[in-house]
Amino acid sequence: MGLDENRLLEAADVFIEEAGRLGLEFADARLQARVYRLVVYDDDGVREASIIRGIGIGVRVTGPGIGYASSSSLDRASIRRALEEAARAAARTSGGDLVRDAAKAVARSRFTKDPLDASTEDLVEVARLAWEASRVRGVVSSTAAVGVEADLRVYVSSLGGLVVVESRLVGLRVRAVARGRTGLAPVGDSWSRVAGWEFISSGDWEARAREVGELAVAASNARSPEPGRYSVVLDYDLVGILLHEALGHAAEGDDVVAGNSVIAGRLGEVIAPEYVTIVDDGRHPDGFYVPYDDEGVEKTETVVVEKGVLRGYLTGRVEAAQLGVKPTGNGRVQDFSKPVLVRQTNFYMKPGDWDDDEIIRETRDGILATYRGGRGGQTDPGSGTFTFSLGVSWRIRRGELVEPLRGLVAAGSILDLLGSIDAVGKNVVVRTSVFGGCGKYGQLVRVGDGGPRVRTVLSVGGEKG
Amino acid sequence: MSDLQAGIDSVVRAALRAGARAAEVYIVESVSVSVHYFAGGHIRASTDKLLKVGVAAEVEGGKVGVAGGVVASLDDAVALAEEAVSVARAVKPLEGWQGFNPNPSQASVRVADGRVREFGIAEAVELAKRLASTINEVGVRAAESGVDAAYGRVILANTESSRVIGYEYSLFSAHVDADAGEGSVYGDWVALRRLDVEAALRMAENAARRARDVGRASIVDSGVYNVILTPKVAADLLAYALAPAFSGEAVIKNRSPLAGRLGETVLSGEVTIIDDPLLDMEYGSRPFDDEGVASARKVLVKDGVLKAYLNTRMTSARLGGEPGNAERRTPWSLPSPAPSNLVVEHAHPLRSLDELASEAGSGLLVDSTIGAWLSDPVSGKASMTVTLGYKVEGGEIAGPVKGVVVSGNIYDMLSDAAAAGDVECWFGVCTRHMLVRASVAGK
Repeated sequence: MGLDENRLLEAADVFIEEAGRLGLEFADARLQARVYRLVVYDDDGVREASIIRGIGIGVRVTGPGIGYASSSSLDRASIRRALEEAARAAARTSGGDLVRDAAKAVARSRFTKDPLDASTEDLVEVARLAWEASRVRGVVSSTAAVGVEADLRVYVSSLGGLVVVESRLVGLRVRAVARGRTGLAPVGDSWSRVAGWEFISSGDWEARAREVGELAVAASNARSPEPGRYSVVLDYDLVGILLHEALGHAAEGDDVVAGNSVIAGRLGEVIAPEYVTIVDDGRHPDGFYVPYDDEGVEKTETVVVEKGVLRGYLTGRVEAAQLGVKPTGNGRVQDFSKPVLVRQTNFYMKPGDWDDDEIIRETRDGILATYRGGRGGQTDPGSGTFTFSLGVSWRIRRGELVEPLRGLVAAGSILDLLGSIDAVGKNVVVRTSVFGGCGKYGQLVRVGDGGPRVRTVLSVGGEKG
Repeated sequence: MSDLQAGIDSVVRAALRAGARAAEVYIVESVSVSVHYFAGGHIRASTDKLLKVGVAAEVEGGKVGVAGGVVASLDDAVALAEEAVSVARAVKPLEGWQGFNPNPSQASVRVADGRVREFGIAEAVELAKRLASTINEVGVRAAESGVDAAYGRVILANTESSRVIGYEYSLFSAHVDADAGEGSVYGDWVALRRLDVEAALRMAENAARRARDVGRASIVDSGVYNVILTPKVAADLLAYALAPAFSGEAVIKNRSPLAGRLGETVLSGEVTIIDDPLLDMEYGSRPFDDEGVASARKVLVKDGVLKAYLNTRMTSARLGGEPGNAERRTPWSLPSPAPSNLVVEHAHPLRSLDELASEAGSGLLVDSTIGAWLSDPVSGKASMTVTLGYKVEGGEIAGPVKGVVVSGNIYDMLSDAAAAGDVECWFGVCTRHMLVRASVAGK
């Protein structure tokens, strides 16, 4: 069931030959082979058991603009046709400058047991056991899913660049719906890692699934808070979503260059307190694996905010040329058929010096918000507004957790949020997911995010009193 | 479809040879053009020709596996058929499985505009530039504009019938971000079956005029407000907070607040909700659902009383009621119930937005939002974050607002709502301007 690297490398050679034959000023390509396996187990048994495969080449040509075309066939005629189409598109457009360099590298994520070798029965059994464990008293419906992704990407350019990145990503997701005093409440959680099947086979998923069921029951008996502005202590996983939505998108170079970001033109300005440092790193061990981006650029740590000061944006080759900087390795695609966009990798906040419990003890009146049961967020970088859903959360009064709360949605302005951070914890957690990712202009990419526990001020939506 | 017949035959033969009792092939083929313009004159264009295939195989009564992918031709899908059978062997029977549709058929409705097929890179680049210049002419900077045109077909065939059914579709969309300076950016989009350049240009001009207001917008005090939703905003909220509750699958699995309530009053007597896949050239329309059941209108709520759920063949066998509402999230997913065009009607709408504002007296008008998808259809909690709205004072539209969260229970909001103006369809939900009572989280 493996990925055919030789086939991609042979097609990369053909691409170089054909690009040369067409006399193109610059051309690069993203070749990909991918397998995605999913088993979903719910109240009726195996709801879905599927294997999805993709293989193909996406080419980019410059001169004078930028043109893209793709093919899921790797024969010479198809590659030539894609180059010709991309060249025709580039001829009709403009602004095709990009930073040109050529790296050669091979990077593979580590695993002990290839998850492609796990049988469908193995996936089903893990999902079934998790589903069963989540069915605690009060839970009326639940779903468990196991996901496996194997992704092989080859970047090649007419300048001689050749970068191979291969990764495995595995995970388990559990969702439970409970019925309680305040109605039906859905809560979910998931655990993914860039690793092999050993991550799944050695995990105590039944305990985690049971906890999801228990949280759903707690949420179904919890009420919503009064809507308003609150002092909110954000748990690690929620800080990640927040930073991703509130700042990460605004830092993406394509929106910055277009002026469609509230932090455009503000390098060197103070945008957060001095205990806030935020980075994007393709190589964090707990995040998603992007040692090189989809333009063959090395993705090491990019400092976006350093001690409160805006230091840099995330860029691909095109934005880097426009800003006059080195690309940061954030040029990514969902798959071979899509154009390159600037995307985050693992975007997170560095630790501060507060103990986690101390942050709660020192909060007179507020909310401890987690992501357990939250569903993500969205941002509007141009207006600087973001929103995200909080999971099962807790009311804090006089430094103590006094009652559970449910179903909150929070929103705010990016710059107000950063400026209002007044406590940063010591422990950092970064997570990724095989079940989802970040969406932008119709492309989904895998990302990681996270941070320490953080306290700030947010508007929180509840239900009318 | 005759060009794919031989390929389809080899895929199903491969599944049967591998040991399947039955098999189904679902194909989405598309050709698309996409242009993205960035301020400063940088333009990126791409073309795509994609063939996506899903193969579902059944072995030994109710054990179903799926394999799929983006392939160069149906020859590659033969291997997918074999994989689907191998996956099917490894699972237990799916409870309630009805087999593949033995009678695939289709109704008559138009969902394709041939002009979209002819709309190429040159035309898309030209339109992206015109969208930008339309914004610039209002004295506002065009930060970004984009144009997408896709034309394709959907084909379904299985071993239970010799019929192969299919239809052609088109999708034309455009988006802009207009920047009036200093954090004052307004983004908007249109997505239509028809090629409608004028609609795209009107959208761009409106975005430019709104952009100025974003920078001046402020947050308001928290409280309970009279809130006017534009049809686009109302459609978005209904799509996420309400529509999934009608899914027969959600009903069976205790994930719907409408479970067990057929024949009961679930909304006020003013409200009627219909699922209509036969609206000419509308976003959600199609001649057959994703199980090959011919499309038909279905009344879900009549004068506030719940009449029907959205069903696949599996859920209708269990719940009763007609199938015909199956949707495959991707070509390689098994079908689940979903709406096509959800038409939400109030019995006595007012004539105009002005009348609605007078009725509101004071409150908020919500023009654009993010995060409606974070609503919870299981509990009915609706919420969205306002990226641009306006105060309503003394029945008149006043100063701009942003950054507040509007929330409430969607059933209460819809039941107590007053509606006005014309019905507009946005992304598969059709509704009017609506005045609702909702919580606002601000200062």
